[in-house]
Amino acid sequence: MELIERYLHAVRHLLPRGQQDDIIRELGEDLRGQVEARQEDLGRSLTLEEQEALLLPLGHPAVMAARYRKHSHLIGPLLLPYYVRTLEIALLVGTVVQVLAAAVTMVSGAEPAAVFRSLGNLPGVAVTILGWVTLAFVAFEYALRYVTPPTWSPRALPPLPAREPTVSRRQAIGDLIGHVLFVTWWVLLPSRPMLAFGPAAAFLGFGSPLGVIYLPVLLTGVASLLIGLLAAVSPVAWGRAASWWRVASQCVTCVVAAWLLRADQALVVITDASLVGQPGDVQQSIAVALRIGTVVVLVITVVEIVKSLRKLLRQPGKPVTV
Amino acid sequence: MLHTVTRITPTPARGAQALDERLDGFRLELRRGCLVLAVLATLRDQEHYGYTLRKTLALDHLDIDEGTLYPLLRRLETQGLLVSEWRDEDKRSKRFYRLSADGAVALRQLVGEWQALTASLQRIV
Repeated sequence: MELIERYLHAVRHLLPRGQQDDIIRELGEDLRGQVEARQEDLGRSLTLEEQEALLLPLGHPAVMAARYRKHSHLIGPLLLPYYVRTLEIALLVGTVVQVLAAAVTMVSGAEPAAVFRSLGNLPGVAVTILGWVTLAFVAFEYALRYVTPPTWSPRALPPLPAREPTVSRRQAIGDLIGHVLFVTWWVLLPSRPMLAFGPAAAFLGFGSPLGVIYLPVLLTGVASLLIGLLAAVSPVAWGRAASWWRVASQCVTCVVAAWLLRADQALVVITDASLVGQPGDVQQSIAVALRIGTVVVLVITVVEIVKSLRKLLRQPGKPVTV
Repeated sequence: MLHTVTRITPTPARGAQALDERLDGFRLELRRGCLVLAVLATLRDQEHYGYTLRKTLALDHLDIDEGTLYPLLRRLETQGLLVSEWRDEDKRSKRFYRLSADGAVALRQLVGEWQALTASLQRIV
């Protein structure tokens, strides 16, 4: 019945999201019922040709899914799922590019107004993407009226994916936004210490350990951002890789935290000479607070790594059910 | 005002194909309206799940494929004319449909319309 399952899987991804389970359950029960009834009559399993003959009258998965959608005026139900998916991906990529461009503007020492202007282009970029994608699909929809639909073969359906994605698209997009914010913050940190210290930046600064950890943390952040982008575009293909990368980046966090605990120099130093050597030694107090904070981060990260690994190793991926 | 009309005469084979396509379209339109009536009427006295409903309709020479029936059932349920519930039968989980109170009222009115329309058409045809 593999061909039936592949058909149902292909239909599922083109249905309205809130109705996928219900529709596929009903359609699946009917098709499996038909297969079992025929197998009982024949006293053997159906051949590939017989399964194909059962599916052909139902139409291509896109045609079947389109029958469950309401007709929209500009873009018909056949193209609607592809339109929505293309729009999601294009808007996501456009937003990431725009935010990175704003970060680069900021790092290059531009005035805050220039950075806000760069971010202010975001709605315009989104509207432009919406316009072009819509225009392209309207043209495609129009062209479809004059094209005889090609014959389709159930055998050409893509195979069932071996594993379900370990992250949902919504979760992947949330993670991606987190990565973009973190990388932007980290890139700006050396030139704008107030992003870490607030008003205390007037008398606090970073010590030499920041120079040692800066590049590894930046590279890890950028790699997380890129993998996060891929996972947001295709959770099925990249969700599992993103989960493993999360564990790897948590390991980097542990190494950085452990190194900071052993470092001879303080990560945060007092830059105002009048405060050094005062009674109650502020420098010492900050060092103790940072040490406690680093130990807490280290313990939490190790616990997270163990939890993530147990989840990934215990469930190497549920087989896909439709 | 004079209009110059250029008529492209189709080749016989193409003409026959175009006629067949047009007829298919008319047939589809004719069937579409009747299917709602047939489905509601079949579910009037007895509940069915998709497969048995198709079989019952096919016995009366009204063949309807899954891709047409299930979206239609879903639409009628959304409109409040049918109600459904999932139940296990013969070790399989099945969704049973039956006519709702609103569906019964709609069916009575549609049957009236159908009878009037049939009488008119019989006079005309």
